[in-house]
Amino acid sequence: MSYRTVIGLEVHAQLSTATKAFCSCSTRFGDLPNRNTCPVCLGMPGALPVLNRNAVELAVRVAFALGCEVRKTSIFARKNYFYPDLPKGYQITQYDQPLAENGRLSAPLPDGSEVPVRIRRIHMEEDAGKNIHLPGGNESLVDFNRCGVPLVEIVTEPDISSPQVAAAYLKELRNVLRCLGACDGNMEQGSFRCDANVSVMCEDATALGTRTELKNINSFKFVQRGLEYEIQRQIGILEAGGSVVQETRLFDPRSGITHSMRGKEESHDYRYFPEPDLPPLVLDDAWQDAVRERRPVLPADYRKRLRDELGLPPYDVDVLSADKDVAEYSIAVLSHARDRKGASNWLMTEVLAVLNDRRIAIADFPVNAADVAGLVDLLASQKLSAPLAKEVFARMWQERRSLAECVASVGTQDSDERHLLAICRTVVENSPVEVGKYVAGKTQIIGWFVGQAMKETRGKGNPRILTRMFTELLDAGKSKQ
Amino acid sequence: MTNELTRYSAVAIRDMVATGVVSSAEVCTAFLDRIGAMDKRLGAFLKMDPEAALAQAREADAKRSRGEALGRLHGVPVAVKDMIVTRGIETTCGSKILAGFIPPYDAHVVERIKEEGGVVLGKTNLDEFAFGSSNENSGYKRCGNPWSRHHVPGGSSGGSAAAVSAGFAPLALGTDTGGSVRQPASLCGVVGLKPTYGRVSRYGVVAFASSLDQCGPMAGDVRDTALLLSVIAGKDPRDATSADVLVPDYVATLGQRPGQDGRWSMDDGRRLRIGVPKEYFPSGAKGLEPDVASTITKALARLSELGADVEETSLPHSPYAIPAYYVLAVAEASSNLARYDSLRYGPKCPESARTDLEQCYMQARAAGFGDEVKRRIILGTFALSAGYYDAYYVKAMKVRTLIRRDFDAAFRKFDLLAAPTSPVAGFRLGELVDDPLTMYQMDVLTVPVNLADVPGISVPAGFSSAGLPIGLQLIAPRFEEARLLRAAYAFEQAGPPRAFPPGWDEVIR
Amino acid sequence: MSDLDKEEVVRLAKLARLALTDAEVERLTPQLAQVVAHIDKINELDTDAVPATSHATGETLPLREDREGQSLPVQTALENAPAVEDGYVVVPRILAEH
Repeated sequence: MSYRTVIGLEVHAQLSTATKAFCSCSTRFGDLPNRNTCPVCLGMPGALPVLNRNAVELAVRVAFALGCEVRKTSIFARKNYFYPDLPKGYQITQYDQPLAENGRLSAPLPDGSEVPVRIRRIHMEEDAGKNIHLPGGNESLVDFNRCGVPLVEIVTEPDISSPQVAAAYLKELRNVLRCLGACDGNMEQGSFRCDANVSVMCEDATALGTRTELKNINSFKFVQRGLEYEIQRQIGILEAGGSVVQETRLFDPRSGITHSMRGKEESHDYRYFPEPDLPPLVLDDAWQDAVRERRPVLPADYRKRLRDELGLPPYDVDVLSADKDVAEYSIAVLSHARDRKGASNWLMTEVLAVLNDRRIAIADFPVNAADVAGLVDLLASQKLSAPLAKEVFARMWQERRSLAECVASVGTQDSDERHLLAICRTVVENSPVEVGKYVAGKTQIIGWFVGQAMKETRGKGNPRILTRMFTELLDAGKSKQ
Repeated sequence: MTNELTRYSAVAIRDMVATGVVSSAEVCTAFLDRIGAMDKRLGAFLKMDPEAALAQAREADAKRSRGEALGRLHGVPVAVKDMIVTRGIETTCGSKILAGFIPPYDAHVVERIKEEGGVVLGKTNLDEFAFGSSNENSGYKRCGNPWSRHHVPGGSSGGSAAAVSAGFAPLALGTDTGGSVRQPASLCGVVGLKPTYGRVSRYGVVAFASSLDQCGPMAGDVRDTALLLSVIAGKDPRDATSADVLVPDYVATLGQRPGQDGRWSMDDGRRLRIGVPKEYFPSGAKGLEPDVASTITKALARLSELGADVEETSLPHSPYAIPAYYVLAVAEASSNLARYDSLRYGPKCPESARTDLEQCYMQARAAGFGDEVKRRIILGTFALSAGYYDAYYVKAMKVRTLIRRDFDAAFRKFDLLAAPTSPVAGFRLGELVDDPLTMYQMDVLTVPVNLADVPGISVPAGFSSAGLPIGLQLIAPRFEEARLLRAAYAFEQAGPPRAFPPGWDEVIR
Repeated sequence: MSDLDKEEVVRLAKLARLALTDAEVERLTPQLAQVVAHIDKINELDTDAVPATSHATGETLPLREDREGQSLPVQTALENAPAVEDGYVVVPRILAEH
């Protein structure tokens, strides 16, 4: 019996506005508790919501980037339930007539292929406050700073067929949101949260299986692992002849398993109705067109440039388009460089290594793109040996000096054949044992000879020329014998 | 002198203060003394802060002596229904669940009053969360009707109406969701106006039914009512439902009667057409009290004499207004009252429930809410719950459309509508407390006006044989408060001068 | 149209987080049933072709600029809260996630 996996994803992304959805309190993360509150976001008697223009613009930008139809008229609704982090006793969200529907996002897989995932809907809503549970004791603490921060909820159709695709979709979505400036995608801080609905069905079945909901997954790693576990769990139940219970489960990263959330047996009756305090939101064609025109560059656009214009292979495209700023920098380097593959390699190995080691963003990387391109070309034209090139690069980013200065201080590769030949002859004369080994058939020892010559030239010798010269000298010597 | 000051209208008081005849402090003291001596008999006020009021009054006097420009309400005391938040003054909405709540902000309407130099006198009594038509649902104390010891003042703005009626304040703010300004105004013999929905900002007006609530002015005469409306009306960016419509000078337009012959006419010279919906008069849905019928008959005659064409009309969906209202209003109310959970304001939940969150909610709300509130919350929850939403809430929204269309159609033929405000001249304390459905019927003539989002006013029209006041209700198209007030003013001026309730005239010694 | 019986009243009260005593359930249920019977009158009307009025003003939603305004000082924000600790509002322990 083989099984098919069916996954749908819901992402809640915090919009990068300065102020909350319905009041002008700051959305700043990490402030002292309840520092950014007012009668509106505290749900005081008599307070009323007023919608943030920028939240709407960002939400619409997201909707367009995901290929959705934005409704001309959308309605806000109240979702009623009791919880301490929900001061009004209802959340302002959208139910019927949400902001946008019917889009799609192509999730790029590492092998270069893309999986299309349909977006069912995107709507706006407000975030709740934060509860802190004290260990032991009978109390919890509530901080309303986050209460009222604007969110978009992005819901897919159940088009996702594996945990791998799920992870790819989320990475791409996060990337898109970051490129749009709509959300900073910080999963640890909770600005990008994901819930997954997952079920399995027999390969030849027509009806979908019972699904469970996996909540509050806050890292990409956990998405994949959690889904993998849950899929196996469900298959296990079905193979044993049981049936999957529709429920909400939490993934525990330490144990690697999902467990059922207690106390959620009764399904909620949210009693949705149109929010009377907010008249319908009307976004006419002129407004929508203006937002469309202001569209920033998206990851798919970067990928296209790197792949089609700059001719990079899929793996390189994948690595260099993962981050918007890295993508822009890479495109700048590649546009200047003659050796594009060499430049790509240099970016992936040398530049990204520095960023990771130093934990800095590319925005803080002190070497400009033109200099990196120049360095790569020097290497390609053999004016610099690989070790020398690394030396120059190190000086450039550590000492914040230009390519020209660092090359000057390190000197270029020595390709002067007369000079090199003299050195080779000296090395050969002084190394009879090694010569003997070469003649006896150990031809790899050429590397040792080249190493000796490099020491003589303080790394500046052109290794290709040295190798050729030593080979000629030693072969000539061999034939003499 | 002290006592007499409390007989003057707001306009007169303001003019006297402005010209230095009397100081704001003297005015404020006069009213405070009267309240202090007499309100224990009436129960119109829930909370007084005499020191704060006097401080405002003194500041008003200081402003005048500094030669600064004076506002439209300079030195005039205003009573504020305890459904409206006032910074630093306890605001309870007449409910135990908000005992001790001190708002950190003023409602927009309160800010406007202060900006114009008005003095907030105190917070008036009301039915808990504005649920009621008799003020008997107050979680704190009874409020009487100055005209009769045995009768209710009406509700839910019973305290505001009684305060104005008894001369405790020249002006008061009420709130009207289904008649709660107009009906108590009628029962207490004062003027009360419900503005067009969106005319006055709801920011700081505690929500009962968000799509129906309006804060409205109450006063002893039409001109004072117009003055207070001028001050509180207008767009407020903090209320997304407040309308961006120009606020005319409602006082200045009162006496305008364009037309050569001095008779009452519209701007283009033709006679004012007043429609009387037959469903309201003479039938009054379940039938009017005879005294109400005869008083209104005389009132309509007065309108005719003033030069209006008074004719019968029909609002055919009127019988469905109360049922639709008691779906929509209670549904919104059930959601609006979910925030009262003892966690961020109000008294802490009962001791026994403190370790269990769910019990905390259940017990705090059980202890803090009265019966009518519980009834409406349950009804509202019912109307919104899965399985009933379409049959009740959506259906009621559609009925609302039909009712609006009735009014829109009537206003294509008529400039104003006229009807009684209340089907009865009054009812006795305790009479309807255990009969919610009959109590709801007290709003049968006022509720449709809220559903249609049009403005309405109640002006004193006469008395029952038992001496209880009876009000005439006038209704105008949306944002035509100026027309409404003009007509009400003309009606008032053509009748006897304002009567004060007997037994409240003792001179303060 | 519907039967608002005691069981239903208890269920609704729970949904609305209202504890009712047995006596209250006894007393309130007939009153509520009577009101619901009256409300059922709206079903006499044919409203198939009638749009629902969900918003009173008939206007569209005005928007607010994304500029930081004045928040309440923490002390003021929490002034009315019955239980406060270190700037947090203290509530009975929350057991289940929502």
